This record gives sequence, C-alpha cells and structure tokens, in this order.
Amino acid sequence: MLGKVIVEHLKKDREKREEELARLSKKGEEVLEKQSMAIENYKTELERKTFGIFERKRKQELQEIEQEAQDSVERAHTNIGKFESGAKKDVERELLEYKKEKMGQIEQEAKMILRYTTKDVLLKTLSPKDQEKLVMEAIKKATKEKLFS
Amino acid sequence: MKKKTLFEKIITVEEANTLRDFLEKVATRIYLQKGDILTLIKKETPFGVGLDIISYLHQNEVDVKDPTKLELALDNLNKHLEELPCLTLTLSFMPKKDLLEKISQICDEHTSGHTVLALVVDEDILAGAIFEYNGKRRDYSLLEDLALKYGTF
Repeated sequence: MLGKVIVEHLKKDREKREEELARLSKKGEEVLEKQSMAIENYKTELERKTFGIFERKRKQELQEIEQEAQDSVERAHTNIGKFESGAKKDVERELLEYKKEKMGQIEQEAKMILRYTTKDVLLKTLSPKDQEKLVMEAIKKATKEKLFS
Repeated sequence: MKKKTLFEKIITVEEANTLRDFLEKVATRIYLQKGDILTLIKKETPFGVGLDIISYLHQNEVDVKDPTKLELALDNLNKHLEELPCLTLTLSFMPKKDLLEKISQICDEHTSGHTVLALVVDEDILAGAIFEYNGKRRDYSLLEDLALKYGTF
C-alpha cells in the first residue's frame, strides 16, 4: 500500500516536473524567440543606419568628384580660351610678317625685272650719241653745281 | 686753238700710270744710254708726248746731258703725274677718246691745274654719269633719276 502511495506520489511528482520542464522549455523558447527578434531588429536597424552613413558618404564623395570635374572643365575652358586667344594672335602676327616679307620680295623682284627691262631697252634704244649727250649734260650740270670748287 | 700742255694731253689715270712707268724705264737707262735718251724719249714715249717731255725739260732748264739732273727732272715729272688731281667718272659705256677729251677740257676750265680721269664702266647706271672729285660725289645717272622718281630702283 505504502509502495503504491509512494509510486503514485513519485508519478505525480514526475508529471509535475515534466509539466514544469515543459513550461520552462516553452518559456525558454519564447525568450529565445524574443531575443532573436530583437537581434533581427537590431541587425535591420544597424543595416539601415550603416546604409545611411554609406549613402551620405557616397553622395558627398560624388558631389566632391562632380565639383572637381566641373572645376577641371572650367579650368580647361579658361586655358583653351587663353590658348586660342594667344594662338590667334600668334597666327595673325606670323601672317602679317609673312605677308610683309612676301610683299617685300615681290616688290624687289618687280623692281629687278623693271630694272633689267629698262636696262635692256635703254641700252638698245639709246644711241652712242644720246649716251654722250647725256654725259655732257651731266658734266655741265656738275660744274654748275660746284663740283670742282 | 690753245696748244695743249704735256699734262693736258694725259687724259686718264691709266695713261698717267703708263707714262710714269715709261719715265721710270727711261730713268733706269740714263746711265746706260747717255746719248740716246732724248731719242728714246722722242720715239718711244707713249701717247705721242715725247716732244712734250723734251719741251718740258727745256722749259725747266734741265741739262739733259747731266744724268743726275735728268734723272731728278724725270723723277719730278713722275711725281707731278702721280699727284695730278683725279676725277672719277662712272659711265654706262666705254667712251671714245674725244668724249674723254671734252670732259677733261671742261674739268680743266674749272680747276686750277690739270685733272686726270679715272674711268669706271658700270652698265647698271643705265645712262648719264657719276662724278667723284675731291671727296664730293654727284650722281647724274639715269638710275639715280629713276630711283628719285620711283623710289629705290
């Protein structure tokens, strides 16, 4: 009888313990689930914040790059403008010099042709008498202009 | 017509130099051909001025039989020829003798002594003449005329 009572008691005690264990187990799972969710939330929040930081950083860098590129383009435009202006002046100056030089050459050549032609024509058309007459006129002119005084 | 002197018969510098060379040649022969010097002068003097040289010696009362005096007289004549005033004449053609004589005559009319002509022929002056005398230059060339009218020609 006593044994039966003990067995019964032990059986009840065991059931009680199993219930307690089940309850604790369930409680544990709930805590674990809550913690998991909290971790998950924290992770999500962390990712969001990290993404924000990266995004801001990226935007800032992009702006800096954009600004730098714009500055470079402006500098390039300025330099091109200066270069174009300088180059234009150089080309204009060189053209003027070239033109002047060529005009001088043409003038010299024209004079040379004229001189040769005149010489050729005169030497053919002026008779010795004409030549002598011009020389006599020259010596008379020279004496009038006091060459010998 | 006035008779020309010895110097007046020497028209150009070239002639003067030829005559000077001849006088030097005569001077070297004075002591070798005493009796023949006057004949040598008469016959061989260029430009037909042998008699003019003899006349010059007489006028200057040179004892032609005295070699030393004759040498000195010829040397003086040589120096005189060397020191004749010179007119540099640039022409576009080679002139004839008579033109040079006319120019020489005009020069002598305007100078105290005789002037010899240094002739330069330069076709580039085209016509007319350029004169240079005693540091003065007068350009009456056609080239100069054209240059004055049309700029550097």
